Amino acid sequence: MNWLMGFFLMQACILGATEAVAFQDSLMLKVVLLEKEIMENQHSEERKVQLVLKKADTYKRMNRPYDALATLSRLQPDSLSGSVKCTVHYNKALHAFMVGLHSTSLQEVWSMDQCSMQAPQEMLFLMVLLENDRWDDFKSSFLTYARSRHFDTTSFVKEFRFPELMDVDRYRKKSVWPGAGLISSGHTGKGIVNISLQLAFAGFAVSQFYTGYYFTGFFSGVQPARRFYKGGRALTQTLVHEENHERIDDLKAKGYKYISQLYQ
Amino acid sequence: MNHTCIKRFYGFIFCILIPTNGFSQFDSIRKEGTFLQHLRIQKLYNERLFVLNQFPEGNDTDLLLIEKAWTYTILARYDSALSGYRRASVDSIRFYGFTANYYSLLFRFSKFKRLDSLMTNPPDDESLMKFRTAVDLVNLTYDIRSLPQQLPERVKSQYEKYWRIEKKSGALATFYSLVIPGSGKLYYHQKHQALNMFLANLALGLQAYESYNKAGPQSARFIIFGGLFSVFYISNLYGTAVGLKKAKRDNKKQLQYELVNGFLPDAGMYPGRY
Repeated sequence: MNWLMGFFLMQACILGATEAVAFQDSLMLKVVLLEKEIMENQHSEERKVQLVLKKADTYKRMNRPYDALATLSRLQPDSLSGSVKCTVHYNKALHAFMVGLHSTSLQEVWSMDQCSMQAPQEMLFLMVLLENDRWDDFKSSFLTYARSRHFDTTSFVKEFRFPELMDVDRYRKKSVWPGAGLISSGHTGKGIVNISLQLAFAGFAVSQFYTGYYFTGFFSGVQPARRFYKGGRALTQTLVHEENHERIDDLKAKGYKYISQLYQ
Repeated sequence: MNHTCIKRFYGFIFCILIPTNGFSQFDSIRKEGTFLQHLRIQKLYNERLFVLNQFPEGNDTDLLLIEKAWTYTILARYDSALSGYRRASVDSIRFYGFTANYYSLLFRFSKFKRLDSLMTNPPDDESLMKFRTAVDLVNLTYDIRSLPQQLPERVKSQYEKYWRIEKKSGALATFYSLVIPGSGKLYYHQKHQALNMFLANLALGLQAYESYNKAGPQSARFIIFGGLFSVFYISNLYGTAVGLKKAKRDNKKQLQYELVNGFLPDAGMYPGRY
């Protein structure tokens, strides 16, 4: 009986995959037909704008934000008026945000200053500010939108503070002393391992020199100790940078948490 | 036949016709020429391929295959492109003006025999003569002092590099490395690798020598360093022999790359005549 169940399950999976392909194909057909219509309506600007927006939306449904953005780039928002202009800016900002072009996205959201902002536009605006590290702008905009929606901002004001970042230069200087940079930056375990290895190899070098094995002392003692020393210094800088990134990411995560709370 | 049965029959026919109607938006490749051109100008190559795939293979099968192959080339799906051209007749490829694109693909995939067989007759287009020159260059037919004038500088310098390295002997390189570790690599101009190999062997050799001298051949110290030195020394010989073969292959590939990008007609140019 089990094999029969397995057979039907397999059939169902194949049908599911086929359906997904068929869905993608039908969207592609829609894209192509829209493109054909765009070609035929080259001289009717109003119709062209509508078609381009539809085409970009279809690309979005196909999970192809790059293509959606490229399609929207064919429109010149400055030559458009009112709500259409705002729609184009919003869609451009949204797709640029989706593909990770955050500075382009910021340019587009700045261009929306004359537009009436609804919840999706506000959300996008806040997220773009966050991703572009515009902390003060984010804070003031969030507070404005929160007040207009009667959202309690007490915990936001308390929690959303720019974190104190570690001074990379300071730790780089400290790492002149073996292991000190790592230990003082909070990586005690790594620092101890690093200093132990340096001491072990340096000790080995000294013992070899003492017994007259100069080549062994140099190649198997001094060189590895030197390598571990340089490695420890490089690791200190990398870890301090990572720590700073983590602190900023935490702040962003807090920002996203409050955005989702505001618009839930 | 009762009424319900007839209704069901029409319903069935309607259901079958819906998808057919959806896909029959594109009649034939010739009728959709303007649209295909528009897609090409807008650089919507995936969409162009989609449209081409909707046409039924009929009277214009060769043209369809060729157009698909060209679009595949632009999308860097070279395998599909080459297979498309192979399915079309050579006469059609010539007729529609896609010969350079086809030859480029053959050259890119090192199908020199096929390319040679296609170029037995004198080519009608002067730009196709370049393929003959390119194949001769890859086969090292030219002397480095008598290279064709029209070759770009990058191709010339790569040809010289390839020509020089092809003349190097693997046995001689291995012999050099046998005498002084790393010198075989230096012989075929891999200075950085030669230095690394030399230093590693020097460090282990000196330690092995020191251990032998001071602790004797039975000591654990000598066994460790002597063993490590032996492994590195043998690797140096093997690396030199294999490295030369790899260097030759890499230089040939690089020459092919330079020829495709700097000398041969641009495969991305659309040559269609219809």
